[in-house]
Amino acid sequence: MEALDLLLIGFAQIADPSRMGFVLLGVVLGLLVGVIPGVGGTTGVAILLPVTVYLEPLSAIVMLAGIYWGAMYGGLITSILFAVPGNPWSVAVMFDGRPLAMQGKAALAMSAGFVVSFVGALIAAILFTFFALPFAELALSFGPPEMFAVLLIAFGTFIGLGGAPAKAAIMIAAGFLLSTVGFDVVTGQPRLTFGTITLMQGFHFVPITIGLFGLGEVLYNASERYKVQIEEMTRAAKLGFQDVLESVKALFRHFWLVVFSSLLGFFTGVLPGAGATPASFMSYGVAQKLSKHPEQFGKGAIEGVMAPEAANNAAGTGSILPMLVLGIPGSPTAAILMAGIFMWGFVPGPRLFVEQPEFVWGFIASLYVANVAAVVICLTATPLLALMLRTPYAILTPIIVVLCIVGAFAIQNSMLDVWLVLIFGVLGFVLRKLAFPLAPLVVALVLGAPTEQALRQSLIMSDGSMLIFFERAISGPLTVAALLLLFLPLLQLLWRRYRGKPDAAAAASSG
Amino acid sequence: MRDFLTIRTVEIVVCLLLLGLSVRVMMEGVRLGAGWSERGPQSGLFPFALALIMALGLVTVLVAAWRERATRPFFEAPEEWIDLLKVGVPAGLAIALTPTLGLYISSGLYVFAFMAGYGRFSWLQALFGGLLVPAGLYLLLRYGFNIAMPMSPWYRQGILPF
Repeated sequence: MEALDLLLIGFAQIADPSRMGFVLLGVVLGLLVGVIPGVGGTTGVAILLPVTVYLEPLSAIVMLAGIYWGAMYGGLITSILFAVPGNPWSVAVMFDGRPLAMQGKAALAMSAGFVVSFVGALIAAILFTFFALPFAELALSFGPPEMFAVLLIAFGTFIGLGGAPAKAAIMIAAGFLLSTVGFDVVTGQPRLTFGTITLMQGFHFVPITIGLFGLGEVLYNASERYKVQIEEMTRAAKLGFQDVLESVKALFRHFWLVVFSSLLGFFTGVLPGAGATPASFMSYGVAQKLSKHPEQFGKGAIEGVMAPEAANNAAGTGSILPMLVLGIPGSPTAAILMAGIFMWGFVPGPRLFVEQPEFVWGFIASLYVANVAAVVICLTATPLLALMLRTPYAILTPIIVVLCIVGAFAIQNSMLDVWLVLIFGVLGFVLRKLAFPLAPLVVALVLGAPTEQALRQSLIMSDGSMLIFFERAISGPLTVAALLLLFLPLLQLLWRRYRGKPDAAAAASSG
Repeated sequence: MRDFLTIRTVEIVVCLLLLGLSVRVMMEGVRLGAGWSERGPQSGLFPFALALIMALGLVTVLVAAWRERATRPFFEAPEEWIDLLKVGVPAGLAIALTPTLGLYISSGLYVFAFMAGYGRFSWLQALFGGLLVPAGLYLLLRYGFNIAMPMSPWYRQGILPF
């Protein structure tokens, strides 16, 4: 059992008290960030990224990842209590969590959510431990055509599984275009700078992420504020021992559903580009189909809380795998973690497993530690976390905005980045209102350069023939799968037309 | 406001603006050369192709929005845009003032004004917040992490330490 030995090395790395402290700090920060309306995990990680330059790499990554995990647990609280999902992956949990809260069972819904979050993350961590090494070994044999095929899968998933194919395509193209601004990687010619020197440095994705997810979220929350009565609901945020017991019982009653949702979540998460959001919706749908009483879904079925929650936590963990093994982040948060790995002087990819085993396995070990910490804190301290919500809005909001400025400026000491926060904040608000997905833009912006590089190198290898992607043993099936995903919405549309449901077809094309 | 500013109208306006942008990028792509040379694809090919994909997506969304009959208002209630402006304008001003006044002064003014204005805190409480937030940031960024921030003109003249 090579993986287990390596995991033990990882645990030895992480057992250091100061590193353990950074794991806990990250989880606590993540929980706070998840609970406070207006900052999601993505913003939290982005703002803290510049600070981590001064930490040693392992402490830095376990803290940032801890924020990610913590935010996943914390988002559940606002989703159930106030019907304000802090993150897109907390939306599915709301369908039944909110009705349960209205029936006075908020505590049960929350504790059930925490318990399955833990189980989902634990299953994902175990899968991560055993899949990491074989994946890394496979990835070592990847050349540019294989890399390009995997990147294509990432974009295919956004378009095929995102639910809004045309809008996802627009956002991907926009992100790519932003990444091409500056110097051409191959010819060295300035592109899309329109004669200005300012644009020659190109766009860094961190200020854009902070704008879209930080300031954009602040503005969106401001406009939704009149709907939420925070004072009233914070009183419901009490977890008794009885609720925990009840939710553990519910876990065993629906054990296989939770296991299935976690597996579904993990593998959807590993698919580059998919991430936690589609995973949570898919497992909600599956739970409803498998249920003996599907009519209770949407009215407060506990399975409707458990399935998406297990899936999204498992997917969050899974989405780190392609980032670490291939350098392909599946979500904006994973993209920021990847930027961090570069900043700390490492290069994500299969060689990382060979060259920096302590770093990689220390991080994997932190998955276990962080989730144990998160579930214990959630089950014992939810009333305290909910107290955070009573912090006056007029104090929290300016602090969040100021931190957005700090995070954007600190990344490369550029004033342009501060303006980008403002521009993309307003843009993020409008696009969110119009139901455009924001994650594809950030992921495409990060992957723009590697995608173009992989494509061009492949074409140089083949003297300009596109057939190279189909001819090679690994890239062939991957490319076909990516194309299927890309054209999935079109195929669905044709299928519905064929079956004679013009209304459904029109609805699909409008998305 | 409710009747003419709908999700549909905003969607159409945003799509048209982005469509203009993608046409501009396509022109730039053609200028850089959007074909093949003996050294592989020219610099403008990828921007051109991406702008084309973006334009195709935009046309799809535009057509769907055009046909849309059951649209919702962009702001469901007046509170939405009132709160948006009350929060958004001070935040925008704080960002706009950062290059000239530096981070610490602009954030202090911002916290003070927002607490007193939007939050209806007393002047004393707002002043306390407006001093505490930049002071905490200064200690953390300057002495904790040694991260440089935009400074005020008085810093450059040697009058203030920030």
